Amino acid sequence: MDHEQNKSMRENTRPKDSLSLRLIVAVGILLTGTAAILLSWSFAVPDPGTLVGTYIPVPQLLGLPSSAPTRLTIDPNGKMRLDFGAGRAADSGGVHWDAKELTFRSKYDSLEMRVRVVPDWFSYHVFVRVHPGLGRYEEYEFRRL
Amino acid sequence: MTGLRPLTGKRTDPTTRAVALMMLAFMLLLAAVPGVHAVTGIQWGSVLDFYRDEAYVRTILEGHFGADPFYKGEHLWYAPLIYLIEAGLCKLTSLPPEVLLVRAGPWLILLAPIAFFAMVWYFRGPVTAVCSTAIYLFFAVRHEPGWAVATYTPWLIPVSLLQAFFYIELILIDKAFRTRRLLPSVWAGLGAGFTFMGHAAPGLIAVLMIGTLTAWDMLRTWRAGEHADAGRRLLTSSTAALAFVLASLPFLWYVVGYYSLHLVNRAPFIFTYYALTISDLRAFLFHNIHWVNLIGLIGLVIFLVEAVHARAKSSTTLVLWFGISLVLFTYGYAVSVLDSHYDIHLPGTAPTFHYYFYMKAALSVFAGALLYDGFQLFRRAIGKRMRGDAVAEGSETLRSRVALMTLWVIPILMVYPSYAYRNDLFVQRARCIKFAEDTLRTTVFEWVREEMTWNDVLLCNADLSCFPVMATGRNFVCTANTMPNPYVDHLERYLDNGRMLASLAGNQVPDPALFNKYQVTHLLLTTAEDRAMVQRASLFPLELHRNGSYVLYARPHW
Repeated sequence: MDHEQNKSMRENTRPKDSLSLRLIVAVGILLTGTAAILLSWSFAVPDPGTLVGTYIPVPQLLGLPSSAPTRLTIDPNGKMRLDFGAGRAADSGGVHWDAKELTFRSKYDSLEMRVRVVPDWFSYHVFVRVHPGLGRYEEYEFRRL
Repeated sequence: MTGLRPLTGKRTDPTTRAVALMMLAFMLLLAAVPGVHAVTGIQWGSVLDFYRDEAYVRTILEGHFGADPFYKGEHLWYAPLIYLIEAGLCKLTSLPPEVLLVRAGPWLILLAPIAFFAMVWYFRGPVTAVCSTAIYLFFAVRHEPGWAVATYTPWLIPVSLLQAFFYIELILIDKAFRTRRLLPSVWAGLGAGFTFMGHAAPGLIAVLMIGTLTAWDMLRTWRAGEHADAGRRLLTSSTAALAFVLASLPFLWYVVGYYSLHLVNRAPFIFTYYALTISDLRAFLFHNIHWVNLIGLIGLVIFLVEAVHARAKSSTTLVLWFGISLVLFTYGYAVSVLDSHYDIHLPGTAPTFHYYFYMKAALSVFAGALLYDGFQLFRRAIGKRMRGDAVAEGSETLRSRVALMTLWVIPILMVYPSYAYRNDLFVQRARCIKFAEDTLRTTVFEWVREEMTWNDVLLCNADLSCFPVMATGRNFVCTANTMPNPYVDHLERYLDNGRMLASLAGNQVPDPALFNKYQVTHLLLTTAEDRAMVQRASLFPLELHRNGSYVLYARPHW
């Protein structure tokens, strides 16, 4: 009897075993639409002109190390300049905007110093990657001043 | 927190299961598209692992399985399963190894999130599987490279692909310890063996999990006076051990049979990922002070309580996974620190980041489970407030389950643009492009492949040995200390390599004895080195190829 009663209780609390097609179709439309929007928006190439300006690092919980750049300037010609404080600066010189890779690149220091532009919904995140040596790198997020 | 129930997946309705699978497909699509984009047009991988793997694949394709592709006369030392898979795919697709290794990554590594999803579904049901997989795919990685964090990445290196085997192995282990029948233990042993064949670190975690669960079960049953059960467990686990040995025999044959697991070169396993070093504590905190880890750790505590008090087997398995990874991580770190700073040499296993990787994967599971339960608690509290009556635990409706799964669309939508350009994709792609830009260097790859046969040995500096020589699958005298056969004395080869190059730049005709010892047949130099090698013509008179940066010489038959 106990066994039967247990079985009956299990069946009463068991979710319905039928497929809710309407719900599945609704979820399918939601997911397909979202995926289409995300995939089309995320790979949109930003206009380099909108990136012109001065940027400073986003503060970090533990502060920024002394090796971190203190300011990034992108001029209308697509050149950029990184200031490291104490008068030390790295002028990018012949940097060009690589629209395909969404980055400013120079021919010779592409591994050592890069500015990465990450599109967000209503703005861009700018990440600056510096290479302090010994195979390490540090990346800092910058915001427009 | 009784919502944390083991193995709930079997009780869910077909609509929940269908929506969970649709969410998986949605997340895989969003993860894979930037991955495919990252490897599009890429010819060369950018990290040494690609070149090591390529060498092994070439070794298999040329019929020399079991040989070390770097050092002549030495044997297989790296877990070969991924190379066997890659070599099989090369045969199947007729793609050259360097192309296959770069382009197949986004597709093959989809196995990892699929296996992760299946594993969480098995342990916690489909809703938690969606929650944990969303975290695993879109929120766990942030700015770290894909090989350091358990997630999907398009870069086909062993650690990233072989995690899939480990997740399946967790299911097999759990099944084996829910019964004392023989067959589940055989599967668990075979799974551990295949995992070990793919990568030593997850294989070791799996073996230690089986060992710990065996010891615990035997102790418990023996104390309870159930001696027959203890004996049965010993028998099933011994069978699992035998299955493990059989499955991993193609690897164990060499590392045990030839090398007796005697590690001579310690650099590969004392390598420490920069964000795990004390000197870069800031980087560690930067990467790890994050809601995923915080919620994951709270989830771990709840799982731990459940494992201890409720004796839920699934929680025990998952907590043990995290615990053993943590122990191995701590031990590996101690080995590394003692070796580097105090010259104390303890036996090593694998670089610590491998265990950090699996701890992160476990945290994604715990975080997903906690969010699911938190959502249900919240829903019940709201229901009670709105309707004034208590909503019973475990009474979650189909609508609430579907709502929780599809709600993940919102946070994914918010992070997706930066996810699609995350560091793991962007930096690696940038490096790949940088490598391909150096066409003078990549041409050397063609020279070496064209001029050298399997038995030839090349002398060059360590930098050139890493790329392009390593990828060719041709022998050389020495390479970077973290990459070569750990069962061979690296220092001796390193010093001899330096001596041979120095002798070619010396005042006297070099003694060929050292060159003969390593059976050196070819010499690769940068043009700057070439100008300094005034004695070069005495041993390597034949110039085979030259471009603006490099020159390849051959030694006449000696």
